[in-house]
Amino acid sequence: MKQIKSLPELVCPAGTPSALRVAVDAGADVVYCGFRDKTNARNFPGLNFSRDEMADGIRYAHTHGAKTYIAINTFPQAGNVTLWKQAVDDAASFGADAVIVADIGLAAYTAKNHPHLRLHLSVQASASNEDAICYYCDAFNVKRVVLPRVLSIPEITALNSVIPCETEVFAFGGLCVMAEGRCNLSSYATGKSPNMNGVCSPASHVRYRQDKDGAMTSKLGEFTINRFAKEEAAGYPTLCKGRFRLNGEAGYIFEEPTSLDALSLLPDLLKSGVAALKIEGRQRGRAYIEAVVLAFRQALDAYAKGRPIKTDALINLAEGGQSTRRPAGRAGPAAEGEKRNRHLLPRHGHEQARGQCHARAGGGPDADDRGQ
Amino acid sequence: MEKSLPRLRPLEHLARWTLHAVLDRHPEIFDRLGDYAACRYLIDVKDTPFVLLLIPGERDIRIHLRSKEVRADAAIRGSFMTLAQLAQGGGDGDALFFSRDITIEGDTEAVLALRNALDDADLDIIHDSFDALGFWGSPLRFGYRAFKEMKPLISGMFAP
Ligand code: SF4
Repeated sequence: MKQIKSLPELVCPAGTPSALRVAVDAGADVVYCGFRDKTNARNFPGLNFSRDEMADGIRYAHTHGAKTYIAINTFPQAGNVTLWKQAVDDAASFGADAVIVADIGLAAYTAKNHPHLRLHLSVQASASNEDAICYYCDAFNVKRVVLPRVLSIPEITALNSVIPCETEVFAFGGLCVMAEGRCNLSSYATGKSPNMNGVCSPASHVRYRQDKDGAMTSKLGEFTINRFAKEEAAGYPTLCKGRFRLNGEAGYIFEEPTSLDALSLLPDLLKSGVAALKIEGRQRGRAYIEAVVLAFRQALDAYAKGRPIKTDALINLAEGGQSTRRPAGRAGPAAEGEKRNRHLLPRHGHEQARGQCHARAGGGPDADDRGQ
Repeated sequence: MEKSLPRLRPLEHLARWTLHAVLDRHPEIFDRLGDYAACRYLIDVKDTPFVLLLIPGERDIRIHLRSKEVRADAAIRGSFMTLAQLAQGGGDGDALFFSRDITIEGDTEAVLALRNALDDADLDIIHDSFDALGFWGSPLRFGYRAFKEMKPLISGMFAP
């Protein structure tokens, strides 16, 4: 098993050049970002980097002792692979420290044409077992794999003991309850896929309606996803986090609007042998990036010095006003009182869905929770 | 095209002058907005009697009384402080949406494009406005910068 001799890399998102500078200044070891085109799974209006901005951003990061990874993490379309290959070539020529790819053909292209460019496998590639990961390492010299959020800490620990590459896990941000890269919920509802368009609730298909009684209704395409009472904390209109009527009762079938927050799991995650912690949220603004990067930087530094980790720093940024964090000193699941507006939310189905996620440490009391 | 009330005109002139000061100093906003620059954004300042109609592509901003019906592609609603903070990248738009401090209606993609463009521009509206005054703005700029630098010290002195 690989031993982590130092703290894991803190890998932080940047959707714009300003966000990149904020992330670096706040203490990111690495900033990941993407070009302003279809090669990038966060190809949203107003976001991302032109070629010049990317070259400048990489220079800024390097000058300040940080690295830059470029996400080229969508799947090239048949007959139109040039855009994706060009993105890899440009990343290499700008001096990117790694590219994050999802497509097997693009991995082969990168390994063949840029053997010295570090290759990371995106979570979108859905490589989450030993055989799949070893294949990517053997065939394309992949140095790191980004694991899906559905893996538990014991599963991550077990993987780390048998694979030849590093692992990177999500530590904060959107919570996904499926094997990433294999979800078709938004494709079904809107024709836009999380894997090609990087969106679970594409803004082009999202509508909000403010009702006279203060309630807000959210819609995704033709589907009503939720109706939030006046002052109830809201979430994105994502199908997996929608509130639906089942057997006459409204509730959450898969998952409530909730953010992943692994601050309280840091000691367990670090012991599992991960090489990097990833913060999700290239689509979010500078204020989010600064707050999350600072909180994780402080937490890692506190861990290194044997001091207690502050685990409640980020609840105000969480979707639905609630996250997966556990109160300090507790090994069990998040307590009722720790979740803002939690009492307003029906409880359908969420225990089972979230019990699978690495947001729960394995072993000890957590293992018992899963069976409940 | 909707006309604002004559008594709102001085306020409207000030708002338009400020908008020009910001856009002249941050032309990259248009680059990020792309086609959404042509959108009509209704900004509803909930704790005032006014709504603003922003049309970035026309470098125009109009002020109306809330009671008036104004045609827009997208609407953003919040208190003055929340909206001002958001415009300057001081608050996280998604978190303010989760907490219901801001609400949006209409073309969600247009709202995100505007949010992303403003967030990247790293605006300081007061500084940009003083800057637009050229030579005459120098003392104001100096005073404002000194105030910003002193602010944490002053708050620290009175902190419990
Ligand atoms: S819709 Fe839900 S389950 Fe599907 S990819 Fe998005 S977050 Fe994951």
